[in-house]
Amino acid sequence: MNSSDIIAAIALVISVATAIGDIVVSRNINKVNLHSYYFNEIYREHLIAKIPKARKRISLNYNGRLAGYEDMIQEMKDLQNDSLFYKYNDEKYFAKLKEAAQNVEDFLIAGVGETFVGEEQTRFMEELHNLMTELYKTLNNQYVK
Amino acid sequence: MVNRFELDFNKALTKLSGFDLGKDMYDEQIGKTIDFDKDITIVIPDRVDLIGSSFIQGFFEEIVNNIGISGIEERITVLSSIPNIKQIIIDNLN
Repeated sequence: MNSSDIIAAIALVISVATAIGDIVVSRNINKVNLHSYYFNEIYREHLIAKIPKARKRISLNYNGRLAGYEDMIQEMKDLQNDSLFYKYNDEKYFAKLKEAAQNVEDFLIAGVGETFVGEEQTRFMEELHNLMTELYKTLNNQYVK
Repeated sequence: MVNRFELDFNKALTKLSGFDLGKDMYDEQIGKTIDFDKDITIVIPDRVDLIGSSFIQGFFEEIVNNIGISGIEERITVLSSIPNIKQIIIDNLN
């Protein structure tokens, strides 16, 4: 075997390795694209429209009572249902999403009928904000996975 | 065996939420005597006007394990002041 044979062999190995690398990279890109596609299909309306609109309706009225909570409670239920794809595709994420959505739902349910005065009102709205932030964090983390 | 269950709990409670509450209520009031071979009736007091998905999932967990969601559709009657309660329950099971 002379030096040109060796160079040819090396060039062949490099070509094959590059081709395999390209296939692997391409597959990963496709996987990311598909993941992105599913996420957008499932959550676009929830993130852009439904959750913000439902959140806007929630307030503590002049009596210190919770008002406008119904849409958000329903939206948290709908969000869980629409996420069922992930129950079979990413069980850990589904459990986290369910927990975050139910935390919002249960917090609002517990507040219905209660009377909040002064500092209690601030604390209630802050806690709601925290729970909504946690929900969005859970969703965002899934998107950038 | 009578397979009708009227839920009995603190009269101040008008909203039901929480997985653990649902599961405990099932275990204490239904779990020991339910007959899965027969039709089942569950009566939720009329004063209850709101039920969370967490409660539904906790309460119906064992029922789903035994007869599935289709079994709930076919063989369970739920009486409540909440309109379309059965559909709400089915929609919130996963």
